[in-house]
Amino acid sequence: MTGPSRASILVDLDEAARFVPPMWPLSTFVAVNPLWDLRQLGFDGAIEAAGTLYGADLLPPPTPTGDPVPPGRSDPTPDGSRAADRASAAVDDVLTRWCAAFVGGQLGGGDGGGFYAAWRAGIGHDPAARRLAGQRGRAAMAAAPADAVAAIAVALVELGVGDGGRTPAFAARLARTPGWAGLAKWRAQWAPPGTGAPRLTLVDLMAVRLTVEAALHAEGFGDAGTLPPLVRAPGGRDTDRELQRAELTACEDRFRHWLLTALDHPSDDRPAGPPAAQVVFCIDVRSEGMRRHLEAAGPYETLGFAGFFGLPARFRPLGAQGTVDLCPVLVRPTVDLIEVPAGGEEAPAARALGALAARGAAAAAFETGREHPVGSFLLAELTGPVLGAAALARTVAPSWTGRLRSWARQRFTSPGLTEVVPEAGDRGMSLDEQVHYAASALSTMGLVRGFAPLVVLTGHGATSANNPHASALDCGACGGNRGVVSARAAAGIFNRDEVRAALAAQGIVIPPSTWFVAGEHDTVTDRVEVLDRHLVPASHLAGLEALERAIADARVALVAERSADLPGAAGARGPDGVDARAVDWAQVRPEWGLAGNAAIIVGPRRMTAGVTLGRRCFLHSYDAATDPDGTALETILTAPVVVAHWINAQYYFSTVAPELFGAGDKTVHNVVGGIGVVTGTGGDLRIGLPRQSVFDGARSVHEPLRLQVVVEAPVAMVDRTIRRNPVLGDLFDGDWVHLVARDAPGSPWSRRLPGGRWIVWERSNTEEVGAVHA
Amino acid sequence: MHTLADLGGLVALAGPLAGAAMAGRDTRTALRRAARGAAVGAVGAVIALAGVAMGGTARSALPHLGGTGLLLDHFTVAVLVLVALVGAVVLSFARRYLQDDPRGAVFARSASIVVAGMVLVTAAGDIVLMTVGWVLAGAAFVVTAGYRTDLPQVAGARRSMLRSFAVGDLALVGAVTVIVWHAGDVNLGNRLAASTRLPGHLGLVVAALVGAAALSRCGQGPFRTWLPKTVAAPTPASALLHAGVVNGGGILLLRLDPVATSSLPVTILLFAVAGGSAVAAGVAAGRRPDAKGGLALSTMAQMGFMLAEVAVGAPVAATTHLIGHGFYKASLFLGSGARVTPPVAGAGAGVRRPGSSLPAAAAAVIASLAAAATSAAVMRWAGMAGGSLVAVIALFVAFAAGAAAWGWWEHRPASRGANALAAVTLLAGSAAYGAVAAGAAAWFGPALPAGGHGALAPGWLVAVAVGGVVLSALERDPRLSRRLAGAGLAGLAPSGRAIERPPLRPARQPSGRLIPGLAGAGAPAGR
Repeated sequence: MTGPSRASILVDLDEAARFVPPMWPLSTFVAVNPLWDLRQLGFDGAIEAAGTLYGADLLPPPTPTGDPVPPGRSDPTPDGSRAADRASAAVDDVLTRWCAAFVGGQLGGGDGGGFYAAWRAGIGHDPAARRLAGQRGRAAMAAAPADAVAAIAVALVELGVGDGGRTPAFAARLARTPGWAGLAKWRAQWAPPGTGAPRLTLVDLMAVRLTVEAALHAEGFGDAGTLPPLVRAPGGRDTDRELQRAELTACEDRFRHWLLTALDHPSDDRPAGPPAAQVVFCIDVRSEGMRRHLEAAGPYETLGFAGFFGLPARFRPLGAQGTVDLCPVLVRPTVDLIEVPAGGEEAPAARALGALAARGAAAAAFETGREHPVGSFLLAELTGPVLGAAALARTVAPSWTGRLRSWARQRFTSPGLTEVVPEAGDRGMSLDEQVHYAASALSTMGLVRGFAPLVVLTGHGATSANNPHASALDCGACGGNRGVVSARAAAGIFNRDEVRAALAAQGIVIPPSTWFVAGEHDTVTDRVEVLDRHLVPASHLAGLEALERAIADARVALVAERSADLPGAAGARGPDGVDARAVDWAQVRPEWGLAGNAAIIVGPRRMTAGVTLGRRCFLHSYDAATDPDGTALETILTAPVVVAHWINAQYYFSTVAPELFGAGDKTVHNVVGGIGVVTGTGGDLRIGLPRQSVFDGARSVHEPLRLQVVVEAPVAMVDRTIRRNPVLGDLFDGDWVHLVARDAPGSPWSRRLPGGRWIVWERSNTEEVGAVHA
Repeated sequence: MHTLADLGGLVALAGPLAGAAMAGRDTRTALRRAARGAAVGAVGAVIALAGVAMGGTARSALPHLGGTGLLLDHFTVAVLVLVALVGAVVLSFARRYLQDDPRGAVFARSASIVVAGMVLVTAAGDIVLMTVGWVLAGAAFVVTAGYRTDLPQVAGARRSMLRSFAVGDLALVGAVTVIVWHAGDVNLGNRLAASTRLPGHLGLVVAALVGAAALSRCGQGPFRTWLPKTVAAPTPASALLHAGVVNGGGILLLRLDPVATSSLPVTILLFAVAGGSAVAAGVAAGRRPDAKGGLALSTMAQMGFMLAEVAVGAPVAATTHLIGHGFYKASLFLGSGARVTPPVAGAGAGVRRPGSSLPAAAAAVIASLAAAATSAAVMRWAGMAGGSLVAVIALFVAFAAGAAAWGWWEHRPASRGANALAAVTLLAGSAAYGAVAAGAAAWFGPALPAGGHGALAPGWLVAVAVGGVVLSALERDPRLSRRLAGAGLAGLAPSGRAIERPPLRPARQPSGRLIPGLAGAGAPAGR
């Protein structure tokens, strides 16, 4: 029998990989819709297909009496409480151990051959493989073809998988290890070019797996490790499924009812008169709380804009060798930014870099000593007491230790005054590009007139200690990084005289008395730090200080509001208060992050001013009056709304399937290769959010429902935008997100049904529920 | 200050026990109370240390237990401080870390009992009480590491632990029975002087049983499977184990000296097993891609080194290693969540300078010689006895300094000042270590004998160094490295599942059902 062709194998593998969620390395955790590549099937279809393949129930469990979600319900643990074969599990074991060794750099040989080559070279000596398949089986594995695709072809023949069965066979196998498969898929489809070794690919992964299975098959283990039983989840009869769907829809209807009712009665007690400052926050749900309290604390106006401020950049920090992409992963960076010392500040910057280099060298010295088989003995004795004292201090007095560390950081390694500017040369931004960027950013926000004396662009980030998933709390719009850099660069562009002159020519007049400032909101401590103070003219300092005082007041109120939900934080001081949570290495939940997110509201602030949204809504500023042709609306719908959907889907799936699409319990996580975590001793790489991000004990804090998009713009324009963009069509027609829109403040809300029909939303008799955050 | 030391010792025992008793069922309350109990115990231990420092050895008697009680001499009180502090730090850490754990109260109780048990092992006044503490600590630790029955790998870890601990505990109980029955004297205060009355063959049996118990608790040799598997438990459990429980083996041997090292064949076997572990696990630890797995194997190596130090009759060195390593490993385990590679290299991330390794090697050699000479000089100057011991310690200092210097050189900063400071720090550190070693000899010396009849000479430790160097060098050969990769992947390291099972039966036929939705799900053109 002739084997399958190379091309058909690759095509089928790509097709099967649609079931696999891409997994970003932990340093830049990106919240992603795990079923993104199945979106064309629609929400119901994708849930059905993925649920069948993974053997999991992907709808929220039916809770007739509103009882808390029982933990671990009906989703498969990686080790098979389902009826999978032990053989499948044993093959998983071989595969995951070798994947971990490859990604951890243990298999040597550089990046020349890739995973399959390294595995093939070493499998002949693996005692576990011999226990599994016998001496002959192991030798057969080592004697597989050198080319991965050829090995797949040979193995498929051995296993008797025909043309029609290839894609399901691949999909079933990838579904056994969605973590490693997800990492490989990220590498192939999403990683920026130039990402370094090690390069794990789906082809290599499948080649290894099938070769092991084929060897077992040849040794007479039957079809060990072939398709796991394609069963539905326990208790997953159709009637249950219908009930769960109905409940999900009812839940979403209730939320929509609550939200739209709240929006219809905004308490507009904002002060009349021009604002003393305008503060632009990221659309992140956590900003909603700060915006609400800040507006109550003084004559300030707030706006929402995606945290990368519309500037898709590749950033090189001061003195660094590499770069990091600061934009949503759906967008490729177009600008290079670099951090340079401010004028006359080269000496402190050089000193700081020297201190950082020394610190890096000391860390390298410690690591080298630690890894040396003979040197490690006395190194442990020598450094033990020092490390022990530090451990004691960090555990017993985390706030004090944190203050000490920030003092040391400030004193020795703080680079002094720096600026973030576009690179020189053609990777930077020409004046025209800067003007174009400035114009589109301001129009998208709707901020084209009525500028306040101070405009603060506030990115956000989260400080936590000893947290492998720290990046999950950072800004998703910045690719899982802190948002302060984009804010600094954008503020610099807006402040340039040449840019302002060109903008004035286009009709956007920024008065000379307006100054743009960059800031960063730390969402764990809720402190807002203003950066680049040295660039602020003296005339604006008083206003800036007043703003900072107001922010401090707002912070007090916000921290009190948040601490009510954080277990143990209500005491404010001590190891459980928010300040300590940022530096406490034992704190497993520094903040709730985006748990509870449910909607994105696109429209002017007057729509939502004064409304308590319970930190559940993304808020993007938009003014249809300044956007006659709909380009801003299109920008917003195709980028920030999709990012919000991804975040919402990530939280949804981590809540309904915490062991499959979530990372499980954080306390047993074990960092592998610096890029991911496994549970305990090994196994599949974990994807998604840990339990502690969405559950409080057994109770789910995040309410799993689909994102509700609320837009104040001409409905016809919205409709046209959706029809023009296939991705939006997939989302809205596939029932992945819900959409309501209205033309103007007084108009009735129109709801878009999948397929494109608009109906008027009416307040029905659904019971009202208050804003439930936790 | 006998009463101060007595009081401190009793508080060190009572604190964790009270924490366990009052824990209750609610996770957060239980963790809070256990943390407080352990903190009280740690304060007690420090008070006991102060008491012993000022007033010498203290013997506290518990009147209702037939005169048994705690023995607090320079050695036991120092190890007591380690055990109590590690317990306090781990339980305080766990108070926040395990706040969501549905069965966190079980952890709180069992971890407190582990600490109490280890207090007994460390400071019990007689051999029977020590054995009680040993068994208690082992049993409680099996619960501490095994209470998360919802996690897939924990059951296998628990089984492994039970097997090894059962053998070790039986061995210890057997040895203690023989000692009590034959020699009659149970009091550890006089270093079991009466045990020298044991006839030759009995002495060998007792030494072998005690050695087996120590090896089982330290996860060495035939008992090597359970230690790496404990990584399946939550982080605080691992930290408690690696800093508080595995020490038990070393503490046992040191307290039962000279019995433990009375028989030469047993000591040689002990040295071979422990030294072999130190070398093999040390090399394998560098081959683990996961942070916690590497730390677990490193503990195996370090414990092997410590037991080897006991076998060669260097109990003071073993004690400083025990204490230093305990703090070291606890800190590393608790902080193991921070080992995520940052997205941008450079500016403090320690970028490796390109180029040949020769200058780094030269720097390493110079640094190792300088460090060895400095520490040896300080040790001699401080009056430390035992020329060969000083030389061996200096040798290991040389390796540590050389490895650190190599790492520094490859990532060295440009500033001459920083490099000079690093060199000075290295020398100062070596001198400080020499002073610490000499000080430890002075402080622990009276409390620890120089080793029994069967102890080897310190020079034997050089074999461990040689073994480590040879094995690392062999590892550079690609073929051998692949062999070792296979062994490192599966031999010393646990797999994600237990695959040591009966042969697989043929599975059922595949159904070949199509996954609904795949056919026609936007199939690419041409298919």
